[in-house]
Amino acid sequence: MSRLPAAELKSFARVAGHLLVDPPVRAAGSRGQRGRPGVGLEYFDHRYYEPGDELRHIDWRQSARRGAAVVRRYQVETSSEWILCLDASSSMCGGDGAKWRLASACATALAYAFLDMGHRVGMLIFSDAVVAACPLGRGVAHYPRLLRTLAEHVPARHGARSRLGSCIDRLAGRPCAFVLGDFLTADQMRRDLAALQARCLQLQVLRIASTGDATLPIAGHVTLVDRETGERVDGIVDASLERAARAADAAMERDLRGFCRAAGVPFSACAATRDWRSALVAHLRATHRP
Amino acid sequence: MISVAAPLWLLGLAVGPLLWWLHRARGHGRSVAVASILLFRDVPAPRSGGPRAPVTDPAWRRRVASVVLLTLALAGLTLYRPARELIVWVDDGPSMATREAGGTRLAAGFAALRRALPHDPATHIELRSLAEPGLRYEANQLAPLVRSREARVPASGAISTQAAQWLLTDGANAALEDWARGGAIERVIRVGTETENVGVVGLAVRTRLSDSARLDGTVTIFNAGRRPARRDLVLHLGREPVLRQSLELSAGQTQLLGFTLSRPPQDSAALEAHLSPSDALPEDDHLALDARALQRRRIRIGGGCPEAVRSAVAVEADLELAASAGTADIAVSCDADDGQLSEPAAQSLPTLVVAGRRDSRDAVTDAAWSAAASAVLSETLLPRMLVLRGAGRNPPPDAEPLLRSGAGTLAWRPADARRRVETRVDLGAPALAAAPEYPLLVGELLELAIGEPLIARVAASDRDPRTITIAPNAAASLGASSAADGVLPAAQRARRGTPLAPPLVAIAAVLILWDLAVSVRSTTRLARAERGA
Repeated sequence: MSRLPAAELKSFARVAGHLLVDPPVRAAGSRGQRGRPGVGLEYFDHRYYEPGDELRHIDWRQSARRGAAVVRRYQVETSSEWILCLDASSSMCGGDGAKWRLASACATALAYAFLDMGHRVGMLIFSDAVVAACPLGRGVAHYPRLLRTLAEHVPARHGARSRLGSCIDRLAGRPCAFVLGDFLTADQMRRDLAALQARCLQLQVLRIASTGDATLPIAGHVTLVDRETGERVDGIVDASLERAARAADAAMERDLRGFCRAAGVPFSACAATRDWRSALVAHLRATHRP
Repeated sequence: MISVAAPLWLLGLAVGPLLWWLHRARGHGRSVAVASILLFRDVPAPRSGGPRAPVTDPAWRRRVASVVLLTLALAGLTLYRPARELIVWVDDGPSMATREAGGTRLAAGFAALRRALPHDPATHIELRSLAEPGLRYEANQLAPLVRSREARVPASGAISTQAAQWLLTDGANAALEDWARGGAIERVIRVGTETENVGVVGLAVRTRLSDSARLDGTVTIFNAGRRPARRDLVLHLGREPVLRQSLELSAGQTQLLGFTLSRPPQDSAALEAHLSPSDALPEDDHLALDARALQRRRIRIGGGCPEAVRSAVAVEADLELAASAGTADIAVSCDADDGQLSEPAAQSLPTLVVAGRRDSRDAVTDAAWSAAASAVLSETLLPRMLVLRGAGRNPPPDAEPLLRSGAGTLAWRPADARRRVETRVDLGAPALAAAPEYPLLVGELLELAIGEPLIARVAASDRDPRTITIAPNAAASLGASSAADGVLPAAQRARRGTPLAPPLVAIAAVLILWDLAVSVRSTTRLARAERGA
């Protein structure tokens, strides 16, 4: 994997810092505050008790003073853990390897941006199982380790299936996860996404699609071989079949987008021919909640 | 209308099914790796259970189309657009009168022509005679007349380049066949199969110089067929047969027979030659010669003419004195002493006008005949000539001089009387009349008036041997052997059609390049797909 220009990475990190951090909470008539309520140690503010709040957060002194139950809220920790999950199945070899190149470039840029923001970043490269992993780390020194993990693995051209569920066991705590892949699988991928979301504080999905996935180099009677499963289908290939394949690809993306919207998972899709910077910025803008 | 120059090339179209079959087999065994088979759920699968269904590579259409186009180009496909104007040249020469099984060749040709003519009312059809330039026929004419003249190739200016040209002929006229093969004719309608014909091609008589009461003659017979022929020749003078002879002629032989006749009387009928038995072209089995052409000319000599003139006329074998002016063929008129002609010369008769006044004469010194007369004057005759002088003896300015001397014009032809010769030579001078060449001088002047020679006169009637040739020439025979109903396509079509080979080759080249491009692209994409990331 080629290294990305440092200047572009820094530029992207600044953009990502603005788009990844939630906007500050501003109380009416008060000065703006940075941060947001969540799990943390530093006091944030008080509010009246609502069902579901933990009882241990009730501030009894304030409750007695106000005559109603009041809970203490804490400011969420500014740094978190991000796990970058890269699909390294054989289908990522399609499109002359453009999908894998874009995925690894995006992972590199995200890793740089998250590290620049002070997050701890880890990486899981998966196919049937996790084939390469880089544990969580922080700081400038961790970035080369992430790059080495990326560089040491190349997707197998045949026989490597895509199973996102293999990453679930590697997620300790409640990290944030960013999944990059082509999602050219059936319902299994959605089930894995649901399971992954349950184990993550935040989950983002970037689908990398290639028009070459629905294009066949020859026409006539051919035997189609699935790169991942090895399944073979004999059939007649012509222009109408390619049109149908493109339609099936679009339908698959539509289904995945619908699933993510329903699950509250930020999702975007980009073409494999796109450059990593525009692909990521478009994703962050599309998934940013002002 | 589309024609094919080399139909054997069309056998190449059989390669089409072979290519299709080869492409059916070629589809098996090629596998393509795809990112996900889920995207190709709609791929038409082969039949389940039985043997794998043969599937054809779609490229077979391009390749078969290329082969078909190249084959058609090699076959020489030519497109003929229906012409708006059609000119049919009709060979109506004598051979077209040959009797065939269905009538004359010309009638059969017109019947075949009516079947072959396009029924498009927008097409203007014109039938032109080749024997009589300018003559037009109607397409529905049932029995057109055969001309006695041989058909000739029309002048190039008469052939329209905008109209389609057809030719109706029997193939006997080699010139027409050459013309048709030259490419000007789009279609030839050829009729006739008969080849044997014998005809009389010549009949001629002349007065025997040693005996003016007898005539010597010849008759010429020509066998224009391809086999030996036997004929009986009968020669009639009026109703009297004067010659009977059996002839045996080999193919292509011309036989010349001589005969002698007594000079027929003045009112005798024609001299005729007959051949029997008759053949396919009976018109040439008979040839007649007008007997009047064999008679002596009757000459009327005016009363005032010198006796020497009468004596000179008497020595001419083909001249005899007429009893009256009404029966004369030639007249000699001499000046009277009062300046009037002794007998008025009829305007229609050839007349020699001789000066008769002898009171004033000049000697002739250097006389010379004009180009219109033969030089019969010798040096011995010139010194004896005397030229009359005086008023009315000089030729008018517009007269054609025939004999000149230092004294001026001696003999001339008036501009308003082309069959009259006038002279101011004193033909009655004794010195001149005593000369042995004197009859030659008189005869020369009479020949100038008549316009033809007096001695060695030949009466002849003949016909061109080519007009009795009815057998088609060799090239035409080859074409006729493949005839179906007498309507034949031309051996070589005219170049007016548009050859389709260039556009066919161009389209085939585009298809081949297209196929090459698709093959290269497929190979590249396949290799790239196999190479993967």
